[in-house]
Amino acid sequence: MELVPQLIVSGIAAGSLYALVAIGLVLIYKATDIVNFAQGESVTVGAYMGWLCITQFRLPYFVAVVLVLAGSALVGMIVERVAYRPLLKSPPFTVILATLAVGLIIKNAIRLVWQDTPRTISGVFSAEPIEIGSVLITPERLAIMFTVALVVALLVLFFRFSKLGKAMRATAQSQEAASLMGISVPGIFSKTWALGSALGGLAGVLIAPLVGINTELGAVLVPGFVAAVVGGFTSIPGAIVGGILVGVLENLGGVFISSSFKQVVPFVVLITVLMVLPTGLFGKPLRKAV
Amino acid sequence: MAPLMVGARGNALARLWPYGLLLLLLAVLPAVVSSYALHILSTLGIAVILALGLNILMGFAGQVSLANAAFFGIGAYAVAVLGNGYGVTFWLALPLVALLTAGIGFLVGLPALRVSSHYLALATLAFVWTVQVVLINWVSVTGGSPGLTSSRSGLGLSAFRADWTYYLLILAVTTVMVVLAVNIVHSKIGRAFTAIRDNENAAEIMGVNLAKYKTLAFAINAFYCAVAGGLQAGLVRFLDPYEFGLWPSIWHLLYIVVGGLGSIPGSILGPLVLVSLPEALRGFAEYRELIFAVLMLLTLIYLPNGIAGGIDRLRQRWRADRATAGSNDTDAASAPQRQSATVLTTAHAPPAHGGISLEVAGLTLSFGGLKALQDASLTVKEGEIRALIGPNGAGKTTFLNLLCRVYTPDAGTMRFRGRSLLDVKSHDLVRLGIVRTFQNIRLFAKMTVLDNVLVGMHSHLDHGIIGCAWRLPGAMEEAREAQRKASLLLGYVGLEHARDMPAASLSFGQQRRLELARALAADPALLLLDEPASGLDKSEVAELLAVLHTIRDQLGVSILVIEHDMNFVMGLADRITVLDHGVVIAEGIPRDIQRDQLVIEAYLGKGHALVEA
Repeated sequence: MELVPQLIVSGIAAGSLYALVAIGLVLIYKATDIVNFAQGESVTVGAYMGWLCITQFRLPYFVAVVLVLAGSALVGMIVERVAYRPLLKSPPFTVILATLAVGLIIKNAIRLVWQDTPRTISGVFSAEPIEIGSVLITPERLAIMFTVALVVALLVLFFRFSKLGKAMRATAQSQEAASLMGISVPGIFSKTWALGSALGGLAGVLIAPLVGINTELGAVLVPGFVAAVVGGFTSIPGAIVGGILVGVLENLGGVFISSSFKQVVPFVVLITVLMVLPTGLFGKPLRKAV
Repeated sequence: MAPLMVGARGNALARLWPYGLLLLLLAVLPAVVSSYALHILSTLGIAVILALGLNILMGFAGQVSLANAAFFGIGAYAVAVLGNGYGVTFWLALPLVALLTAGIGFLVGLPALRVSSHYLALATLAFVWTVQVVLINWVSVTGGSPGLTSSRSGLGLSAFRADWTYYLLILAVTTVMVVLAVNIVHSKIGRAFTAIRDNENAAEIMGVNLAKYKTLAFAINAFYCAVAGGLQAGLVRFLDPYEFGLWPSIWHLLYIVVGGLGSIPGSILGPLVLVSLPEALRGFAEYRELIFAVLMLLTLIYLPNGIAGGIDRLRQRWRADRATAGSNDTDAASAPQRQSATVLTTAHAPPAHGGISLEVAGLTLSFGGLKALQDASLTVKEGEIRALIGPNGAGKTTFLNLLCRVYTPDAGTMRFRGRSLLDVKSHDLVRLGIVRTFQNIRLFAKMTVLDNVLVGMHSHLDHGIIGCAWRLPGAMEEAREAQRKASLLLGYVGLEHARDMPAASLSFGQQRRLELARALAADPALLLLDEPASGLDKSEVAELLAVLHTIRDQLGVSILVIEHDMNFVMGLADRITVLDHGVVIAEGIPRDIQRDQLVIEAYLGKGHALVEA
């Protein structure tokens, strides 16, 4: 049982990455009612770009992070342009499939260029665990948790105080009203997809030193999605709580039930939440509209 | 694709012979093609079954699922394990496994009752993932990640050891599954599925039990996948757990997206293209996934209804060209030809409860702090036309939604012919004889005009999945009778010429009339009309007035109408109830209401007359 605090802490580290992916999904969903199934690929793109910048171009890690943010934002804008905008009049299901298709295209394009050979980068922080109380944690994981917390704080400030952030919130509430107030709604869509995707890319470059880089990194979409569902899918704090919950439960389940069970944990959580609390922990109850 | 045999038998033969010929051609193919091509054809047959199952669920019922490959895997492994491990013959194992898997499908469909498409995608994704983890880790039964060997003789299929005989078996099963699918989608079940897809609320009001039909769609989907899986267990030498994961599920999705969502021919064309294309692309193996992803994206953007939809569009254009080149008898056809309502009868027993149809007392509902309705009472007599009027925000629509069990009141009683409505579910109202129409018309946009009316009869059609799928005589008789009655109703509202057009293509006034015909199809004893005159021009309003009077006079249907248009209400209603701010402020015959000072103030403020004399 003395394992538990340890498992919880490392679960929080993994969970904060899920939270990043989840926030990206939530932002895009709130603005456009679409779940971006290519979000996982922005994680992959982030990781590969990090690898390119650091090991190929020998750039410092922090410069790499900035470039990754820009690059994965660009990916988001491309997805919006090819999968969302031409399908504005189609049912959401069609658009979701289209984002899935774009994700597959990106994944396979990466695979064609760099094959399936796994790659690694080393982070700036040490992977040598240090002891805090009774818990061992690597500075690397601490840095991830800290970075995610910082990003979330910046996001909150952005949405509350910046003009663009306010425009995004307005568009999420009513596209028509926002448009009448002089906000370019297509422009906001494009920027929202860019922002959501950039968060995925950030998760990619953060996770890369820990787990290595391969084309299957996009699978992180699944726990990220579960995190968003648990949090109610429209709430940023919800996505954070959901991400951490999934990360921690995954760790606990992996040790106390079985290691192969670890992969199933997000789904057990998902199904439970769907059955018991269909609107998630932070979602607003919906009255059926008639 | 047209229903296989609606008309006389000779007629059916004339229509079916091309299919027979095609089947014959497919059956003699083994004599001329290589064994490799035969294997591809067998795979194609299985793919068609998978696509059919998925299309019934997603294309027709509109329920998103990524679990297709999981059911496929369950079917394949279960048949293989039962046959090779326990000596259960294929002929017993296949139906057994298919039925059990249908049961699992039913369970997987349960979340569909509570959540919508995005969540459903994930819930089914969760399922496919879980099944794969089980297949990989339950080594003692499934053989784990190396896979499970299977052989036809192990399955008790020694007679089909030769590949060409097994191909014929697959061809036969696939044919049966295609016919069953055609029958299902053209029956009341298929209509219920499409109605749910097009408009859940309206489907429910027409008596479609959403819970039942959504889970049924999942069960049918699982059944099809399991049959495909069983056939797969005999086709391949060994089962690979990685072929039943998420990517194959997406692959199946691609079948129907490329072929055409909501189309049976599309469920055949999609696999045809996607199973043969990889063979053509064998030289570019590493680009395959990329090519398919691009293909999928292009299809979604440029052929939203798939290949089948594209062909349909071409055919329609060709037909339209021919029609304009021919005669211009369309004008004559579009003139409404009214038939007398006397041909219609109502199935509901004559008034039994002291001549009272609807009795509402003390109805109260608050949203947060806002009292939407406060102690509202209203009684509708049998055969009465009652109007409920009031300014915007008076609570009229809330009142209707309470009656239709969308909301539950905080207090009050609602009785229909003496029976309390508080414990009645939305979809059961129609069985009691209560049907509503919607202010913002809710038709099933992509269904034909005739099918819209047929959905209205849903609750009076008794035959289930077996009767519909196998076209049993009783079910066929019932379906023919329903069609006859639907045609009469269409004639009655002047839409007979449009019976095969999609509802969405009608003009606004025609859509209102169609919604009325659909409501009448359900044999209502009480019609609830939500602003039926809104958006109609003067002559259309006059027509509607006449139709509603006929419905009441000849069918004895009681009507509660919620309305804005004062002139319309004054000419229509026997009595009027006026709501303002959730409270009933007046009740009486039109003449008195017109002069009621409270009502005038509520509508216009002081010093105005309500209606020009």
